[in-house]
Amino acid sequence: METLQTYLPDFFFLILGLVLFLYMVTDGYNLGVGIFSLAARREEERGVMIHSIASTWHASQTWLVILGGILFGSFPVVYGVAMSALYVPVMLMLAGLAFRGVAIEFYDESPNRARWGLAFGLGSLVATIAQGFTLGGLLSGMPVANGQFAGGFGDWLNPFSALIAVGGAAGFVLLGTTYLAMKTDGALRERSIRAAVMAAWAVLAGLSVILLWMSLQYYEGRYSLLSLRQGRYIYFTLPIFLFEFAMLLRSLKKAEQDKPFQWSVLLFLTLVVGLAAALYPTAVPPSLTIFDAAAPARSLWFLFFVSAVLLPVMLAYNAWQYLVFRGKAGEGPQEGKAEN
Amino acid sequence: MDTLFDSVMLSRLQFAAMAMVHISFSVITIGLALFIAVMEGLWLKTKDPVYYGHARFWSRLLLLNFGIGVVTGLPLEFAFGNNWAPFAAKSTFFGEILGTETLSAFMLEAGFLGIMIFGWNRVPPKLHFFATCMVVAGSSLSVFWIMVANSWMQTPAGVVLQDGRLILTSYREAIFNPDMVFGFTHMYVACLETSLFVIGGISAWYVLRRRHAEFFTRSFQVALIAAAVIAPLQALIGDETGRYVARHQPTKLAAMEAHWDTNPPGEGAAWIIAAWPDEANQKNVWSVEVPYVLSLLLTHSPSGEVKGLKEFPKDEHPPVLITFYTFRVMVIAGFAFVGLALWTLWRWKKGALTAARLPGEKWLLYAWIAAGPLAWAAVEGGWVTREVGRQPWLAYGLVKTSEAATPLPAGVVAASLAGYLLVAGLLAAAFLALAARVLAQGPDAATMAPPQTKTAAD
Repeated sequence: METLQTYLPDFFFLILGLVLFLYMVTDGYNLGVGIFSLAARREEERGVMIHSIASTWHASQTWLVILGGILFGSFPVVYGVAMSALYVPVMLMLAGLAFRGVAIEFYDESPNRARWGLAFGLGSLVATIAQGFTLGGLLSGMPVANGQFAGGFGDWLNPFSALIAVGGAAGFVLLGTTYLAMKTDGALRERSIRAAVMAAWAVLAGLSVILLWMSLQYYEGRYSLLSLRQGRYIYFTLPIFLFEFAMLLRSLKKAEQDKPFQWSVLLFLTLVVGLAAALYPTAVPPSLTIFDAAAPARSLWFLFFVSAVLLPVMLAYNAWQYLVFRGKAGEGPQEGKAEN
Repeated sequence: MDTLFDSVMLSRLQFAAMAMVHISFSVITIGLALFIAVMEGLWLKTKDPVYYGHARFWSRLLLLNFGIGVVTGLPLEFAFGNNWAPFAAKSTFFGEILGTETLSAFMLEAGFLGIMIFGWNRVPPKLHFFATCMVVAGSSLSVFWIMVANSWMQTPAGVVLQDGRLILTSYREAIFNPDMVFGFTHMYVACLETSLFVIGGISAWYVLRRRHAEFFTRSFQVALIAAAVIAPLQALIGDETGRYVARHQPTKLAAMEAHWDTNPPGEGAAWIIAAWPDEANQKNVWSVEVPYVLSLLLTHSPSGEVKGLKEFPKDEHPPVLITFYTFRVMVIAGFAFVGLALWTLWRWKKGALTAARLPGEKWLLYAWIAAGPLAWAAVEGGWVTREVGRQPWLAYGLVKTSEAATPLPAGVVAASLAGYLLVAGLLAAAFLALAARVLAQGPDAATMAPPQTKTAAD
């Protein structure tokens, strides 16, 4: 037990990475569909987009709740530091998510669908951009003194976090449009595939600029992710990323059903793994490590058993939910399609 | 320090606003989901399509309510890091419980909600019922865990204060802290009670207007039977909770009763019905009292000692005026519900609650319609009593609220509070408008009939 105990912070670093990945991918496609819905041609088209995610968005958003809960429990100092430093973008994210979520539920009951359709799109856009600034703000580095945030409350707003916000939005649009390519038919599907190609190139461009920026900062002797101990590990994921990118473009060109979405998910997986490898064992760059920030061993054991039992169960019933709602989305609420 | 104080005060106001908005929707989600599960269970058991119709009709309202409940709950979780970061670092227990809640309760609720709402024609009836039960289990578990965390703030046990941090010594003591059992029971029963009076009130409105009167007589009857048990039960639990507060949070109790001076030995403490507390001079400007009753209520003896607020240093006094009156809102509502349940039972005994005669019971139905909003006021009143009465402590007797606030610039918090009120107000108004619209439309024929082929095969 004693030796195992020293690995508990690593375990939670891993679990948080997993939950972050699950959130990014599952809510990423919801938010991406939301952003793409701003370009819908007709209200019916927007309706199809909303109905395609109406049954699963709750679970997607809950991964964010779980991310916060596990972070709070396992690394309380990180939770406190990051949330106070990122006060403004987190509040904006919550406002965006509020409009997004409520709009999905209100859409079918409202006499004014166009208004809630717009709230759905704008809410998704605001939440996505704010999440980009949240992640970018964290990765930009935060001064910490006595376990508390010691920087300015506007630090999160900088060129690097803006790049992350734009790149992240392109990434979510990629997930959303490839999701629609899987869940819809006809003209909407064709437009989704065309948009996915553009989004894919935007992701690649964004990532290149971000890497270039980080490299320049690093060579000028300023802090960037690359100056962390394992920072350069991020380069190792590039060949895998480029391979997946090529496969994604190929499957988009062939207009395949599920493959474009699957390749997009793998792209995100590669990015999260690369990011985690570069960060480890840092929790809040540049200097707060997971070992400094971890809750006492006893607390970690408690949460270890809770998550070891519950995470697999959660994954199982989430998978069942996706199985129940597989297939194409229709114009009405999803229950209308009873063919399976 | 003035600006810091403002920032703390603003953070408190913001948290209070978030909690009060969220609680309005979450209590209904919990009770309504259980009501729907009961209706669906009755349908599976009796095959009476009326029950199926009820499950479908109330699900529409549940979905509207759930959406806004979820998005107003999210800010609360983040607030512990945003506005109360030092608390997150001071005490690991709270975060562990919140983490456990997210893992065990929230995903259960969210992961099965889609199937419960949209899966009627996609999974067999029994599997659908299972999904509904999982939503109930998830929402009930979330009450349990949040009340474990909250009751621990009321009566923090199983921890020792060491170098400004609360070090956990016993999970058993921390989880089963003195307030936990009654705190949780009181809140859970409040969820059921509020939902029952909202469901009963809506049903009464339909019956009164003779729209689908027969259909809604059924839900009215179910709500009545449950309320006849729940309302008196809640009064008893509330009474017991009061004695626990007296024992473990004497300053809160004294504030709830505007009780300034400890009664001398041999003399009973009077129960104050109404008063105007003057907090600066530690006395009541005027009061209407019933002698001996406070001692009787809390100690079951006419002259039992009840500590007055003056026994405690002034900087440990909670705000008295708010605590005193919000407590009264809750108590008056609680007694009104017992009265309403008894009245309704009496009319039932007289044979007035049949589908044919119920629409004629005008006053009874009006009273039920009024009970819905009153139940909401009772929950808010009770929650404010509980939380404002806990002040100035964040964890009673151990950590003060002012020590646990993030040192945010006051302007930032003021802006986020204004933004929150604007967004929450807008969404709540839209919710009310849409819920009213759903009620005006009433049950829609297309979804009210059970899927024939599947029930026949069942």
